[in-house]
Amino acid sequence: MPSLSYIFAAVLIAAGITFALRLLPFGLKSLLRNSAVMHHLAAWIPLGAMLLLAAYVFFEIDYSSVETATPYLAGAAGTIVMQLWRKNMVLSMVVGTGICVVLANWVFA
Amino acid sequence: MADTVEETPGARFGFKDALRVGGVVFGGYLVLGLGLGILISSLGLPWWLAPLLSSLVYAGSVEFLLAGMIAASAPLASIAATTFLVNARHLVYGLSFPLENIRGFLPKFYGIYSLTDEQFALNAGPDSSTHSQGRLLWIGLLLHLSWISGSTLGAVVGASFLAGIKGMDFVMTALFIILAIEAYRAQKDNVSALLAVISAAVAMIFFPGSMLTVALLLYVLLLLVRHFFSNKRPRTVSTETLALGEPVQPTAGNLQDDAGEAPRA
Repeated sequence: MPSLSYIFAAVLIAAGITFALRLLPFGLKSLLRNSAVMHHLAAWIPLGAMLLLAAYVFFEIDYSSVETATPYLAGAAGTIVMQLWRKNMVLSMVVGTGICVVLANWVFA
Repeated sequence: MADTVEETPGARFGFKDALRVGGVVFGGYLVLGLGLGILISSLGLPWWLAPLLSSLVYAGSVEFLLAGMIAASAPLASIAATTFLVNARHLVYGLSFPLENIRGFLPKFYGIYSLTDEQFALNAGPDSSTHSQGRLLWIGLLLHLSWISGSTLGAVVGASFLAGIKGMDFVMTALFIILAIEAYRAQKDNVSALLAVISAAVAMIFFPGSMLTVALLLYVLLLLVRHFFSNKRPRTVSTETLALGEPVQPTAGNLQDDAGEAPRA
């Protein structure tokens, strides 16, 4: 387990940056409003950031063996199908995680 | 959402009103928080990290990443860069959130502190200027409490009952897949999507050790290039126009401008 000081430092840094990002637009409202590059970044970052996060979780799957990769890929497929079909976030998470857990513990164990 | 609750002037917007407006979202926060808590315990991290993260950082998706990064003892600089880039979307929320309706230093502070995606979505609609201080703070507080109690419960229960079960960390995989699908559904911006794919591919191939951070940085870099080219030609578009309307579509919009109003199939 990481040291306590490291955990606290990580949490405080993340909390500080998050709060600063939330505060900044109120303080610099007029400046941001007139900045074309800020408007572009604000419009373009969210979609790309979400796609990169999804790419990241696929990248993090352990592809060294069929036993480790299959539960996660099957769970991902289940999540995608459920989300496209029912558009219910909680349902998609439960179904996808269920597939992954069942396969990882009782099929590919 | 359930934005139908009347806000009669003079009547105080309280706990029950907040439940009516945001009840479904509170439930969602509770379940997602549960997922975060289970992830924290499945990573072998102490249970108290769940209330600590969810009360202090309180920014949904990045907390799932932080849990993984803390478990892997990622450098603090990576944690800072990732938090900044993943949460950079918050830079826009303040532009339309009715903070002026909240009076007093501490209430204003909490109003900013609790401005998550969902708080923004529930309170920054077209009629946001009429939302009272009671509404903004009650909904913000109940969202926050739902998130904290969900994650704490998940971490405690996860540590005692789910310790030996493999694959529970898939909740994060599922969350990000869903958010990506929903983000693309909401904004079918294929140029951004393509730039993101390029960034991801380059980072995976050349920087597998810090794929996400490099990919996010590269993506912002590519967006700056895109901004540079999208603004270069139409010098006639003043920054004021840009500021008032939607951000100008880069190439497509410029091409349309060049072609005049002539309909082209």
